[in-house]
Amino acid sequence: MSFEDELRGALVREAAPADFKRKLMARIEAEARTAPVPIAWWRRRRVSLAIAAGLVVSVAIPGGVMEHRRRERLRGIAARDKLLTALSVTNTTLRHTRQMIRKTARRAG
Amino acid sequence: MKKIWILLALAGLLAGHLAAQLPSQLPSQPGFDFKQLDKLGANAKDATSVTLEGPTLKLAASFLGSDADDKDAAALKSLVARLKGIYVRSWEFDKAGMYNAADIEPFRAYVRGQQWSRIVEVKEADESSEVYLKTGTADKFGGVAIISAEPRELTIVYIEGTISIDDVAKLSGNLDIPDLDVLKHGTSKEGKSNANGKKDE
Repeated sequence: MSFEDELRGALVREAAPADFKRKLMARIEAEARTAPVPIAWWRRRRVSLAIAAGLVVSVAIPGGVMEHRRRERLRGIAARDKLLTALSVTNTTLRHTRQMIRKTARRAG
Repeated sequence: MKKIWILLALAGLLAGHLAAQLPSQLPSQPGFDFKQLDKLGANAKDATSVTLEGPTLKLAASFLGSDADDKDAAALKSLVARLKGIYVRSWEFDKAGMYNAADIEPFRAYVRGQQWSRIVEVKEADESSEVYLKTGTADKFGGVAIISAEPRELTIVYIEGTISIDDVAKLSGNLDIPDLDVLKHGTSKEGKSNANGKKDE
């Protein structure tokens, strides 16, 4: 037998077994059923993420509120000091005016 | 699509709410531009400038003290609650003649306007003091303005808001307002005293 005959014999078309298609499809379906479905990382760590988010929220929100209150308080104290300064200047000026009126009245009287 | 309309409606409501709040939060502008007085303090050795209006004034009033037994604080709070703005400009100079009295004229012209009446004008050799009240409703006035000019000291006070003669009297000494030196340095020049001249305990 020559090489060419051997090659021809090897490449001869053979019909697939009768249940080949059914077996193949069954195997594919079985593999699809058992193969793990890829899950996003954040879905795999849902609990950890929820705990972390809870911690961040429980720290960040009260922290933010406290910081806001602290700033408001400082702003309020600064505004109050300005107000007291204004009232003090007003007070001194009006008292001075009153003294001037008294002095003038005394001189006139 | 329905969600978008709901979101748009909510955004519209929020915008409307914010727009409605905005005018009440903006400070009311005084009728006088205090920048016109800036040149008066060009040669001052010491200057005090206070501008308090709108929400900042309300905030300041809320920090005046919450002791219910403190009548002075309560009276001050009640007085300040009726005010729209407080503007104080005060300068001290090293020697006489370091400010131009003509630079006070824009303010004087403003308080000589129709709505104002001068209730006090005292003049001595080289100093003068004027008090003006703005027309208000019934026994209340719409504001008070004071100009006190001495050779080495000049003070202009403008208080806008509902104010009575009693309030002016209170402001001139009945309330326990800390002395300016106490506010600035913690102690007054003549020991620790308040604006009424009472020594602090």
